[in-house]
Amino acid sequence: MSRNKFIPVAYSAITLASVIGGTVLTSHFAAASTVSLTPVPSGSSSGTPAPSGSASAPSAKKDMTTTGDPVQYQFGTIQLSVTRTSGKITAIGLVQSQASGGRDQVFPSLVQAGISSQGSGFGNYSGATYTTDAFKKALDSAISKLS
Amino acid sequence: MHDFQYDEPCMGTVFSFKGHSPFEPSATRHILEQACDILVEADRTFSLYKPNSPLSKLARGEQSLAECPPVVEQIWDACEAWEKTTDGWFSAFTPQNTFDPSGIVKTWAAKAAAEFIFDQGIQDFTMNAGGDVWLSNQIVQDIDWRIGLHKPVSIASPDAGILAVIDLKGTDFRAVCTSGVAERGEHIWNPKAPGKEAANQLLQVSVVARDLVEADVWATAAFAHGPRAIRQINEHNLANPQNQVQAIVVLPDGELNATEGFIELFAKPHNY
Repeated sequence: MSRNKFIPVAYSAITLASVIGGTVLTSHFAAASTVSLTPVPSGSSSGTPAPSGSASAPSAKKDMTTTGDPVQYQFGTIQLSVTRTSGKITAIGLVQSQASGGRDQVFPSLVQAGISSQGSGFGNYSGATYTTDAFKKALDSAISKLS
Repeated sequence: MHDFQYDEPCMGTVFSFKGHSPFEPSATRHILEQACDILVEADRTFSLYKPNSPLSKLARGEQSLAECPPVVEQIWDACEAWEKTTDGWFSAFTPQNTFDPSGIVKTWAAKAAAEFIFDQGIQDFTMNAGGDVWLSNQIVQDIDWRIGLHKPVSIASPDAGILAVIDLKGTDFRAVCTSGVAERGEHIWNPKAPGKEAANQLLQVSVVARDLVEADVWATAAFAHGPRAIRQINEHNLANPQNQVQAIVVLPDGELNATEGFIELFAKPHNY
């Protein structure tokens, strides 16, 4: 069964790829079909995501490859590189992936999930049944970030 | 083709219909309003929040099943069938032993509304029933085949975001349902616990299936079952190769696990 236990840290393929790759992914209901991506320059010392909502993309999107800081987590170490071409993330490389219990085998699928979700967007999302109240709050939050 | 999006607040949540219609906006709107009447009518019949609904009267013992509208018995029968299919992990009988089919009424009504819209000639669209997603067979744009699975946090929270993206194009799957505690707290009871206590062994389950109600039932059942649901669904898929479902679960420590075929559903890179 271990091969199916494929996402070892935080909740998320996307969180993992985005945090470690030094990119920030924000997505709110009103903007669900446009996943924004804000590259962080190489050498940024932070392994934590920037506040969500930083949706303004930089005007000049140079082609470049950046390497994130090594990140320790409960099962080992992981470090990723990210290549941006024409404003899109086109590759995420594994610089280091040492993890116990066969968890390192799952990284390639994480990487793929990270690339695909940032590059391609999606039309809908599925989550626990939200209340009308939560829907309104999420919408307000997204709208407030438009200005 | 005219793009449309239509949101209907109903059953305490929001139903969103989004797609491309061959009709003028006013005609499209008329079809969508009629479809939403199906939701409103289902809510009127089945809501346990409305004291005078047939189901509330049934729960209080003021009215028998035979005295309810025929649709109540249909749903009752469907719940019993699903209980068998899921080996007892889906149950519409509450810890107080009253009948509460809320677990499938939302998606059952949503499916009926979506089918009505399709039959009226709007065939390229998606429906999001408060977090449960249905796709029509005739979707044209690739993006509409892709569905983001939300992280197990509320969409209203600052951490709101996407766990992973799946792509159902080229598969037989048309529905994704998610159960979890992120929005409404612990609300799914474990039908096999001694006092049918609330299930709390998972943060979230997302299930992909051909049918919306099927996905919803399995998501609820898997959430009640906990981490061992993955093995149960793998075995179900082996025994029912024509009727497979796929599931991904978020464990309390944030780790994920998934059924054998889930990994193939992850969205692949596009347009590079």
